[in-house]
Amino acid sequence: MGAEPQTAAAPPRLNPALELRLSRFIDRETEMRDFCRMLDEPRWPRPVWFVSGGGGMGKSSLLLRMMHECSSRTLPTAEIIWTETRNHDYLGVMRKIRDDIGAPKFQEFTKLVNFFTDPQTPQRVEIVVEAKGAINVAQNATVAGNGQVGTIAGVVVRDLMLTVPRSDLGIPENERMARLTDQFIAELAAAAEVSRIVVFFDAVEKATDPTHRWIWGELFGALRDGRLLNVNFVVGGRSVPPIDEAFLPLVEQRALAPLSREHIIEYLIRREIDPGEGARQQVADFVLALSGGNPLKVANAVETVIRMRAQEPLQ
Amino acid sequence: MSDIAARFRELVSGLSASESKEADLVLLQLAPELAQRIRLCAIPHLFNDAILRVLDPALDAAAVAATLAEFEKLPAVITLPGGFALHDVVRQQLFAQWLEADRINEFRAASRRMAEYCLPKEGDAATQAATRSKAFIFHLLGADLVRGFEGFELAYRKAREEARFGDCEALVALVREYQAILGPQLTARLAYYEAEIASDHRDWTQARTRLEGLLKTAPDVELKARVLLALGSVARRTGQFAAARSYCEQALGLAQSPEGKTFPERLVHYELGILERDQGNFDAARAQLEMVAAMAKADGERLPLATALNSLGMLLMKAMPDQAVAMFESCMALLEPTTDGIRIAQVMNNLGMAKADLQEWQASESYYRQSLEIKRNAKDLYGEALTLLNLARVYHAEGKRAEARAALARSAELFNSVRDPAHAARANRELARLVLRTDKADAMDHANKAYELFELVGDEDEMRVTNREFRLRKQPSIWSKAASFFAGSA
Repeated sequence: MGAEPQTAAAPPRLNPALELRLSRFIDRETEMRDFCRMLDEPRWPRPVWFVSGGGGMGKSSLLLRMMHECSSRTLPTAEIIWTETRNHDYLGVMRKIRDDIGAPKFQEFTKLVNFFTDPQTPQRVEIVVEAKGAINVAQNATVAGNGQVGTIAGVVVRDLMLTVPRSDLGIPENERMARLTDQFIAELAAAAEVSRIVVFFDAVEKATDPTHRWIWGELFGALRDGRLLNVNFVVGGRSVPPIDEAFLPLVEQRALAPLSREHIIEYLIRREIDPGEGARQQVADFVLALSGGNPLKVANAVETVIRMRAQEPLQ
Repeated sequence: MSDIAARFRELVSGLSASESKEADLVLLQLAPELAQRIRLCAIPHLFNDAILRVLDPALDAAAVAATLAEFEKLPAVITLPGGFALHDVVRQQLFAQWLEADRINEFRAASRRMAEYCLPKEGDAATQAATRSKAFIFHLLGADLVRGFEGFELAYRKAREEARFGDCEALVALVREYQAILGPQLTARLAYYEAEIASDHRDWTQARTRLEGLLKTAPDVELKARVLLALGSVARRTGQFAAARSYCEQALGLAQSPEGKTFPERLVHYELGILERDQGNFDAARAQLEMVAAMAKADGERLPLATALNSLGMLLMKAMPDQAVAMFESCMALLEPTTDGIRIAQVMNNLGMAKADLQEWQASESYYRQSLEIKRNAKDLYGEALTLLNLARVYHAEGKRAEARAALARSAELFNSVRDPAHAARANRELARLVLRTDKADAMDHANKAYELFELVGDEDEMRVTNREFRLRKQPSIWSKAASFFAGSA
């Protein structure tokens, strides 16, 4: 298989805004080529990609492009974006991955989440398997609430989507986290046996310190220990955190560089605002002076000029 | 010069002195009424049709849809699950402009509407309610800084009590966005919480730096006393006992002054009690902790009293186990099964240990078994494994060899499943000791397992002890030598 981004025969349907954004994507050829190589190689040695760059350097756009590439290869993906008010903790991350990959693949994890968070969940769910006659599974199990996440073989699995741990259980938070993570990793690993899974983390600099430690220690720890195979993580963040030596062989680090003059010209052409061969270098110089090659600033400056020209022709 | 080049030159010269180039460019892209709407969209962290109607109540559904369709095309607008967001750089610049004097009243009005909109509602899923309550606090701060800060402090303390340290950090980050208008009083209180978070993360250097800086600027006695106490705690945890004592004594002085009445004095006595304990001053530690218990009892504070009694019990365990048992029993009587599950399990375990020290094996076994039941019900595999290890010692003392063997085997299995090879090694070695006289082959099997597990974690001392005790005649592998070398150099 080649290492170039694939052009699928029947590309997935995109909404027009997303399509527009992807059509304006420039540069980052090296990153995309290497990302595709990673997808092509069944045993790629560095399953974690860390894409870093300051504000507006194009991390989210690159991740969007990568997600589109996965989508055109019909690879299952999960996407977690941190914002100030939607600040996913370890449980939030696992729930989002579960929901994106397919909740029925994470039934035991969901049951355990409910057990640890819902005071109504019975402490003992008896699984009755009779050797003779009919086989009854989960006969005495009760499921409450309306947070249904999936139905498989007639068994309804619900996540009550509670966030605060039960206070009547004698289990410390660290242990609760370890138990949930182990169950989640086991089911994620099983799902990845069927197909490569790619998980995208964006704006990871907004995640809190405990979440960072969980991502590196527990989630990536499972990659390091060989408990999680065929799963790749692409992480977008403002800066690369200090990476423990034990994880260095697992991580591909990419710092996004400013756009060059040539890329700015390519962008001008794509936006149909090409000043013509004679003026291209001069316009690129102005754009560079204004933006320093920061892709967001470049896009903003070009958009501004396009709209100004449409509104009022220069006298 | 071409028309396009002239436009770009105009932009370069027009924005050369601007400190908010990115936001200025976005505003230039829009007609005035749309520019005002995008400014409003910089108040929340995420916007969608419902939020836009809250921000600008004059808009009808068609105008909202047309506005969002226009915004979606802008390079500075990104699509998120549930709506759109302005790019961070642009939003921060526009948000900073809202906090300036000429816009603050309009900002407060919009924030008030947003706070009402974000108020968690009955029927919200808990994850949705958690997001909404953070957004509610954020906008309440914008509407009314003082009330918003009170709301933040309530949410922060609740999260901290429940050990949800990530939520504490996320809440502090939200308040930090209002830094420009917080004023010295609230800035100091926020700085205290930031230091507390550093301390919760065991980042002692950062905690100490923040607290020392705050000590110079703390605007009131209560906060100063809290800062001194926190500095004392950091100093104790880093082994600087003299400094810890000095900070605590200064905090106590302030707590006892007329201006410091709002600061609970018992907090300082508790820290002093732990400090004395850590320094091996038994009588002084006991006196301090008894004072804490008396104060908590007088104030009717249930949990602080339970904590003081448990700490006293732990202190008395070796020297006066019978009195330790009395403390633990008093503590247990204060705990509520519906809310204090972890504490009950801890105290039950402590009672098991104290009874074992008194050689009251049957009582010890009973407490350990109750603790075990709690751990099993809670699916706490690690806690179950530890309790089984303790219980096995009691079974052994009672002469219940079969039970001891089963407990140790299960303990080793559980430690393996939670990936704790050091404890799994100990459980295996205990098992080897237990069966050595009756089943030598099995004992050697477990001793070898224990040795291999100690080797895996690079514990040379335990490898040596196990090797000698069971005459395994093993040589440490190159791999384990390398592991212990790196552990040493780290």
